[in-house]
Amino acid sequence: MSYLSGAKSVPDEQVRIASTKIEGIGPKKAIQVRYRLGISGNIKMNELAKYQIDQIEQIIAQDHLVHWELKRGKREDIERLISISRYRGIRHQDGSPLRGQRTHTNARTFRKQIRK
Amino acid sequence: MWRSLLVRAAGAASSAGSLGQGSSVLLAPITTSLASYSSKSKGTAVIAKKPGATGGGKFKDRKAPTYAKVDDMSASAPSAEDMEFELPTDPLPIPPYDPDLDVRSNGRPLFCGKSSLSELTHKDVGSYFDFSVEELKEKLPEGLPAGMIQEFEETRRWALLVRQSFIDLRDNFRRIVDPPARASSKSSPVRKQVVLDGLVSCGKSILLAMLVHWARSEGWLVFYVPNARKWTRGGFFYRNPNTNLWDTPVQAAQILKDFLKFNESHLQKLPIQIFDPIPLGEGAGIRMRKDADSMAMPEDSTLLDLVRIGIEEQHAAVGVVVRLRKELSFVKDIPVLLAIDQYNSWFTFSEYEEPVTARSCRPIHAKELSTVSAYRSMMHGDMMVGAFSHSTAVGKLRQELPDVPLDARILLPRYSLDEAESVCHYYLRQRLIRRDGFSEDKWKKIYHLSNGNGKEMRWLVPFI
Repeated sequence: MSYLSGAKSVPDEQVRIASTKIEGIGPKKAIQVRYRLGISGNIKMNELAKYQIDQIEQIIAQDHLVHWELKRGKREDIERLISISRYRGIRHQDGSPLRGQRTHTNARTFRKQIRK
Repeated sequence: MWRSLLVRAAGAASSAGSLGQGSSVLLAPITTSLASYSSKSKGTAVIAKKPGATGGGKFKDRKAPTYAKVDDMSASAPSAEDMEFELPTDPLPIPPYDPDLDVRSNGRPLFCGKSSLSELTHKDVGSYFDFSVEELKEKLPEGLPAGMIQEFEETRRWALLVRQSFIDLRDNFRRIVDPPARASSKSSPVRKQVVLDGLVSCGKSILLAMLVHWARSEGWLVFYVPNARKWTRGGFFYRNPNTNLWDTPVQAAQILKDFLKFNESHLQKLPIQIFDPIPLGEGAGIRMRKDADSMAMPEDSTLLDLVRIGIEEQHAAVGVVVRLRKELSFVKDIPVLLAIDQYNSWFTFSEYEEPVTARSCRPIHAKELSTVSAYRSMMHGDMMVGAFSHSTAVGKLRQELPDVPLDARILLPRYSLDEAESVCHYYLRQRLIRRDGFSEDKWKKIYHLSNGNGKEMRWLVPFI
């Protein structure tokens, strides 16, 4: 078991799949990172050298928001809306949907989040 | 393959009649002999891996079915005719001459009986040539086209149809190497560069493989690439700051290994002609060397030393491949032939992309790769044959290709009526068709249904 920027990856997993396990990196960003380093789609994690893994982690850390930084950014945005008493901030506080959905019925998913 | 085996088994069972204890159809893995060809292990019944790129995607994941082994067969005793068909010896042993089956409709022989492709003449067109398994493995160690493997699997015999196009192409290159004393006005102009184009399943790859087999039998130095599409995908790719092209060290090392498989004996005798140092690049998973940016070649080196350096030293792999192309054009002692299958994949984009902005990438064309740009051009004086492939999803290319002479393209036709007749008689001989159901009207119907497509004909003939 190896780790790529904090995300667990299987040795015979392709790099393009292993990169998407990182929170904040999806398929598009994984492709960008790979092509910057000259890694094609069929290369697996166990074929990479140590310095290449370090390069991937360096690029991800420099150019993309991942893990706790991404979560912190999201939280700060929500707290800003709350602090300036916007409608969307109040809806976040109440645990209600804020994108114009109906609440007379449904809206169970969003209401679940505040109970957590 | 399942379907063809079941149909043949049904045909054998119906022709054999009822057996006392029930006929247990004895089928052995058809791919046993092909497995020993494709895998490096000896003498084991391994399921062969079929090359996926050439043969089309639907054959990529097919696994050979497993059957009961000879030792596990039940005690039932089928008749002698059934034993010949059902014995698990793959391929089928070449049966003795049968005057009813080993001839075509007008009495011409079905098999030419020649021992090498060099002996074939125009009179042998329309007959079948039997290959030796060992010779095929020896002459084509890089691999066989998928269509050829499928033909051998389905018919269980290592034989191919001799076509007029092969004779013409072979004679064309023969005349280049050994020009006749008097040039006949009737003979067509000689072409050093040829591009084989044509419809789907018209025999381009098989023709190229047969040409390579013949050339190697004649003692030529042949650079054969059965799968040119592999040069444009997979592995690592790095931009070379000196040439501004993209290096692919993994592919370069594989190219050199494949080239060495058959040509080692020739390369030992050929000295290098270019003594410039070989530029070093980035290796596969290895950073660029800080202490040197080029590698000198000793003056008494041969081409074999050059190739070995490219294989052993990853940084030099791409430089050696490019240098090898130049060296091959200087070889005058023996004829040199460049044979590229899936040649059309070098005229489209590769799998690689270059990031342009934070959100977008630019696809890299195949001509921007160092290895492809060294071998793609046909504007030279060397003998070169490129075969297009419809299995690579390249799409339609324009008529005038860059770096290709205007008169290089040859459109290969599909089977003619005479060739289709030979093919159907051959399939009858190899028991793909039931003898009682075979007639001229039926095989003509199959021919017109398939429009001369060899692959479709092989698929349709069991329904005769």
